[in-house]
Amino acid sequence: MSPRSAAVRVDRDTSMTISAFGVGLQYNPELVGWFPFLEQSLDVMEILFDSVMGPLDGPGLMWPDAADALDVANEQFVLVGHSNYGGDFGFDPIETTSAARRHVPLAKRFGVPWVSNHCFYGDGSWADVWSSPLQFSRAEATRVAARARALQNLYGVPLGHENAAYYRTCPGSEMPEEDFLASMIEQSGTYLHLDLHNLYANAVNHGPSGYSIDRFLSTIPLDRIISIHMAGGRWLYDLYHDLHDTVIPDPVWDLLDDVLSRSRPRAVILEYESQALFEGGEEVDRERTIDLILSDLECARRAWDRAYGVGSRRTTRGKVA
Amino acid sequence: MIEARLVWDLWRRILTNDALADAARQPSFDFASLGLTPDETAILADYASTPAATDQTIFMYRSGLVRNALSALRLVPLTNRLLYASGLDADQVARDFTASIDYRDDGPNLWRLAGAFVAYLANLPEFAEEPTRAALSIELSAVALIRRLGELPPASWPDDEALQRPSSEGSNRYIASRAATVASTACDLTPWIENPFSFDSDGALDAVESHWVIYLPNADAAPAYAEVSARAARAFTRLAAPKSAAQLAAETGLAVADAMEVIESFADLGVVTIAG
Repeated sequence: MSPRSAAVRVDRDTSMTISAFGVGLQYNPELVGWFPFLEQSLDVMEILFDSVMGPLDGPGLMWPDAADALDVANEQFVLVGHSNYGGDFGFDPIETTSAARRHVPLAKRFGVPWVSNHCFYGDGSWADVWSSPLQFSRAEATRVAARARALQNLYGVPLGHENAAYYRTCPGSEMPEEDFLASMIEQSGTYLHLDLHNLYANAVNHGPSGYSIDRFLSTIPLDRIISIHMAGGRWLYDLYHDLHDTVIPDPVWDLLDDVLSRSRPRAVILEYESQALFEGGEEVDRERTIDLILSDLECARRAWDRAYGVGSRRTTRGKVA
Repeated sequence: MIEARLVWDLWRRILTNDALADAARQPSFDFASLGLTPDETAILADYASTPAATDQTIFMYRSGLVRNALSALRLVPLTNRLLYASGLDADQVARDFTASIDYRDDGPNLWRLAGAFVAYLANLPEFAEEPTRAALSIELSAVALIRRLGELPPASWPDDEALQRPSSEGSNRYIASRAATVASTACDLTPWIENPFSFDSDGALDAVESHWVIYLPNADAAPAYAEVSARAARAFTRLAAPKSAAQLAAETGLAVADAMEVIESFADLGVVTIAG
């Protein structure tokens, strides 16, 4: 039986009926070719749709080598989908976006149980996305919610929205991020993909101007969290960056324990985006990088098991008395 | 109330326009001198009120464009290899290229980006001589083909099993696949095309005019190249419209049997089929 055969559907009342999987890893292109993905006991593996899809101005759905690799991975893992640059919340018509033209077919090809995306603008573009968090306004919550709902309908599986790490808010914002997300989710019937390192990074960068993790977590609908991202980052040029090139910092692990105790996400997914992680400010070699990632994975499994029991993950179900 | 669409549109202009980018880094800039609307001026002043963050994001945007350009160049392996063999600083070349296209962000339209980068390189003196010039030219032809197919895929691909093959039926008419095109080069690129990731860019190539059918075997495949004779290249071009072997022979000066032979060789590649 394929691991993706777990019961998945989007109810008309939008309640989640997806099995909880456990702890997984993002299939990041920076790790492909040297990190031993297939040797890991992963409960889920997250595909970055933009990294495997064919160019939008060509005829192909995906790169042939990516298709081969993911077909193999799909035999072993549950694959979930993630959109960085889908143009999900830009202003181009949805049917013209990468999300609709590439991500949706990829989601169906691999039978993903859910998809997560980013709360940024982007219209057929990539490099401008990370500097363009959504405007936290009532009008945008309504506009974006309509696009989110339309996209979720196209996917046919739950769509979770990732809270962004940003260096400054979008001009015209009139409410805190958490109020915006809560309003958007209420209108869209979609879900949240909570990135705890983004939360941490925003608190580090914007704490002095009032950003509050406590307020964030007490405002968003915790029961709509479908999955969680964990990552690390570094200080560069007087700003803390979500670079995914260090181990996961201790405060983010503390946040994970807190959120797992208050919600029921279906997966915790670790992200790394470097061929050499930084440790103590220095790049470490590949062997050490692999060790650090595996150590983080084990920490995440322990956190999950503390919250939900040692037999609660896809790979441990039925193996523990 | 500042409309999000207006913010997004202006922010993209800031990212791509040096004068606006400079203003967005300076809280005390004379914004009125830029000729913006009052709402646009308010947005620009808002960005300028956080100069460090704004500067950081503009820097990251432009750095991202350089990375994306170099990544896109991997789609055209001959050009990619020639850039790194040229002795030029590839990062600096990519920076100059992104500035030359006004910091345009092609995002997922990687073929457009790759084509623009190749076209930019083709105008540099380091890439003006043969056979480098020929390599860039043939890859530009491939990019143009793929972009056409991205806009309008063919009804069938050369790899399709169900393609109708030529037969001895004299009334059959044949047509070239939209998934293929012909290109000619001033030298024989065979050694490079056969080893696109590892060819010897200093090795001499025969300075003879060569003709190639470039085609996409299927939607997901990389472009394939088949060297053809001059008469075959002419015949392929004529088959843009359906023709019988006899018509093709008449238009190209070939004997009917030779025209049929050309058609059959193209059919073996899947790039000529019986017209429906």
